[in-house]
Amino acid sequence: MMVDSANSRSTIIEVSGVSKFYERVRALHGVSLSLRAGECLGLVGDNGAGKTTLLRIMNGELVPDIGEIRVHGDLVKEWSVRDARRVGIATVAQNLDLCDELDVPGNVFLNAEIPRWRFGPIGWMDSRRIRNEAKDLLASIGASVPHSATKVERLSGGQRQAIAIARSLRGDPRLVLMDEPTAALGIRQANTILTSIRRMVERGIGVVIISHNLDHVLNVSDRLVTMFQGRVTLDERASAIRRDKLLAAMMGHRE
Amino acid sequence: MPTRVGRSSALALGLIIVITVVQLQASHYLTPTNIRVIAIQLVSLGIGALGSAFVVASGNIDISIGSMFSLCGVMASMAAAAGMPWPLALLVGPLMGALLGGVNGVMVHRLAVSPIVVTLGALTLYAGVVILITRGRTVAGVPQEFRTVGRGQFFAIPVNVLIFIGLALLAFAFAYRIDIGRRLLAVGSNVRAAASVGIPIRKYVIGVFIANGIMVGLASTLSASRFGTAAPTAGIGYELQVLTAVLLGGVLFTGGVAPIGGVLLAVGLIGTIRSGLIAIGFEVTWTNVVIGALLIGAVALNQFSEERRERAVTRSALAEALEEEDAGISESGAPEPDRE
Repeated sequence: MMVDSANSRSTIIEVSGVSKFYERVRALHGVSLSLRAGECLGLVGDNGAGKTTLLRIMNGELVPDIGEIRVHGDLVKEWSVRDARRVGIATVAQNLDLCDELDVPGNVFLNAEIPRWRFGPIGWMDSRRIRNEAKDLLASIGASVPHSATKVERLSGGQRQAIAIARSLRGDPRLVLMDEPTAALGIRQANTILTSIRRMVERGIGVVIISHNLDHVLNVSDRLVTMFQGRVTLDERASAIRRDKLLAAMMGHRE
Repeated sequence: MPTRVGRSSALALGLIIVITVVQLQASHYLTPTNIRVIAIQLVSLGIGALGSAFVVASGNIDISIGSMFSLCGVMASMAAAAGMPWPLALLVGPLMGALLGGVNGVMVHRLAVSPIVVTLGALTLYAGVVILITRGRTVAGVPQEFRTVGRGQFFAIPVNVLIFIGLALLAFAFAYRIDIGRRLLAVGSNVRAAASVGIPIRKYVIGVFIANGIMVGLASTLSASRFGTAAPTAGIGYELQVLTAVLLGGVLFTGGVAPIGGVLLAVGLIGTIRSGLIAIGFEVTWTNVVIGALLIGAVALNQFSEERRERAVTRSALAEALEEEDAGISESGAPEPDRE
């Protein structure tokens, strides 16, 4: 159902025939993949399958050695993290990349502080607006985070993950890439984060999620892609997939 | 958790105790003239501590500031002695500081080795340069006009002190209200996170070293302007006093925090201990003993704070895990996100 409705929406990103080498090691072999707005794609596979390499190509950290990337239908020539951000692609890294000594709004709006006034490169921060907008972003994914002045080191794993997701939602991204968003979380906190991801998808944001937890991926994704040794071995609607088929694809069996 | 407020309260209490004890021993200590002298003496240490607070908060350190202090003051004094108009001569110190700080910043960033090692080398290098250009002698022939700012006052308040107050206000704004200050603290807190949101690390690291150099150059020039000349030994031990104030004030070696209020209180405490010891008849040498002990105390205090912080974070993670267990949630109960 979700996939059908998603199919009617526009394609955000499309990678075609992408290969990537790390010296003599071929991490990706002609991978093709596309993602539409309002679709959650689960990317699964064993360690070394190429999931993170593919994610890093999509977010501009890496450039493919062979193959092409299209964003909103246009072939990209220059591709970097900055270019990816400009076209609305955000990332939530596995280690979250938070600054423990800063408070919640400080982390959510890091390097995007809202100024009350600006003098050249110096901006006088509008603390109240930063606080309120950080609160709104967290509320939009249904996250419950304590008092905004709390330093993030004092927060739980789920709350820290929510802050990293809220940060990725700054500037209304079209696509959010998440590497193991539930890896370090307990059951309840993982559930909260998965619910947050669904809220994002319902707002029309495309999401790619990498996870080793099949239950999490199956529950949150509209579509599943399995990878094995740098190749895509399965690309199917999550609701139609059988677990044994999924496991077989993760072991390298293709249909 | 030993909060910044807790640290500041302890420093304020320490300050009051020191002042009271000294006043009881030497009744002339708290006279308006003496307070004025103490305030003027605090300026060099205070300006240096404000600059170093941000360097340490960015996850770095510059221990060459003692030699930089000597070199900048000597260069400014020599410029004035060579006939340069005094307003321009006063700019020579901060400009020299910017250059030396920039060199340190570039080396720290490019070599990617410990800033302690790099700036230790710079400490020795700059000290050698000072001796070479002065032949170990105090700069002679500095015109009286050079003392205009150092001896000047505005509504009976020394200009040196006013400049220090202005810089302290700027430091407060930078630490708590200005966006580039927040980003600098982020660089100190987690350099990878800072880079991931697009903060240009190189610019910030080199920039904070340059800003620190300017502060040291300014402190040194104001000192030279007050005395009417500069000695090549003026900055010996300066780095230890400054770093003691910075660490005692609550700036952590691990970076990410710049509690300016704490640093200013620490500067006040060191300044009153220094002047108080002399006022009650101790030899000047005792000042070094006390400052050395304070430095060790500050490092120990910061270490204990860090350990307590780590324990608090561990406790909260444990409480979280236990709460989930109590709620009877098990791995078999796979979560089902709420879908509309």
